[in-house]
Amino acid sequence: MRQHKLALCKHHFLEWVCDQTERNINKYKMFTKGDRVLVAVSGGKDSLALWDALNKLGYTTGGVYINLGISGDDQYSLKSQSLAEKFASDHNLVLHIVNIKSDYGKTIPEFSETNKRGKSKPCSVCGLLKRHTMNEIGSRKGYDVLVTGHNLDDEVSVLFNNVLGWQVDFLRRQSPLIPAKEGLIPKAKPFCRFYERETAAYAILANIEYIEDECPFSEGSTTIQNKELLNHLEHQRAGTKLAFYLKFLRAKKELFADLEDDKYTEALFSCPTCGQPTPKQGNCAFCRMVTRS
Amino acid sequence: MTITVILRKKEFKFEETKDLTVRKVFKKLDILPETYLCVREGELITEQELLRDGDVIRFVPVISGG
Ligand SMILES: [Zn+2]
Repeated sequence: MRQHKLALCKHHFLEWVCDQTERNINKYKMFTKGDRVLVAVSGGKDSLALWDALNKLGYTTGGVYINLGISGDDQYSLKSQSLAEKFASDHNLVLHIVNIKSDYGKTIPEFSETNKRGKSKPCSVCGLLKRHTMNEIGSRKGYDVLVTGHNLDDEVSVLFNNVLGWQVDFLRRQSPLIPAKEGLIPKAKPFCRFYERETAAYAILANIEYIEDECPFSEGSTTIQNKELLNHLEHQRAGTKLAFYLKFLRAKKELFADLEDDKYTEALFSCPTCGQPTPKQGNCAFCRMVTRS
Repeated sequence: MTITVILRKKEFKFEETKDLTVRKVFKKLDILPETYLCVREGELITEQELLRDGDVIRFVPVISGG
């Protein structure tokens, strides 16, 4: 039961989050003070809180923001970009900005329009674009690791979904640290053990201005439905979410005896267009999407 | 006097303010305390906090879409 942490005074709470963040980084061997760390910034509470904590801890960081061209009622992309930029300039940090429309000719909603073959919802198109672009920026700008603001609730929601569908391959890969492979920089989640409530509290207490609105496409998403369900369980039994996640990480070694096996970490092919790894010969999913008109 | 609660661009007024805590407001609005934080005058307050006449509090959602 950790909810009492929120009753700590402001100063001690911020310190506690920073201490725990550093512990996680070391525990899962994510990166060291000598590494250049690229923070994936959305303008939301988690990524800005993470950037703030890493900066306070003395890590060398830069940010990457991807403008997805999503407007909605509240100009989602415009607003989140300006908050990311404000944070970077207030803290004197470098922010790399990628604009999907100007770089690839289409916004996320437009890509998802032309990609409509049943399963290409905006969110899957968006995930593909983000993964590719962040890795590309990270490698090109010489970063050693990419970090994302995923919190415990995000991880638990994904875990729950993967268990419901017994997605064995996804379960095998779900981890606080995805090691590097040919063409891919490592990816780490230093906030994976913090409740979403705690990262929000950190952002508020550290006076970080972040976008409170959600991406309009996430409304009614599986992630949000799962989170609500899991919060009901947590409400009945405090600690349920944290235990589900930590026990999974421990059980993984037994579930997947061949976890370290190279056949799961080696890239099979590299994309002839962009050079990033792909499971099949020929252009990767990203390049196929971008060249399709 | 009343207590005003701001929740996602909506306002809720509570006239019966005696012994009203954040936790009780969560209950009245049928929301799980796990899903919101409560801010009063820019400061985070806990579930146990007793609210005062004339308070304007804001519930900040903590769930993000992922
Ligand atoms: Zn490619």
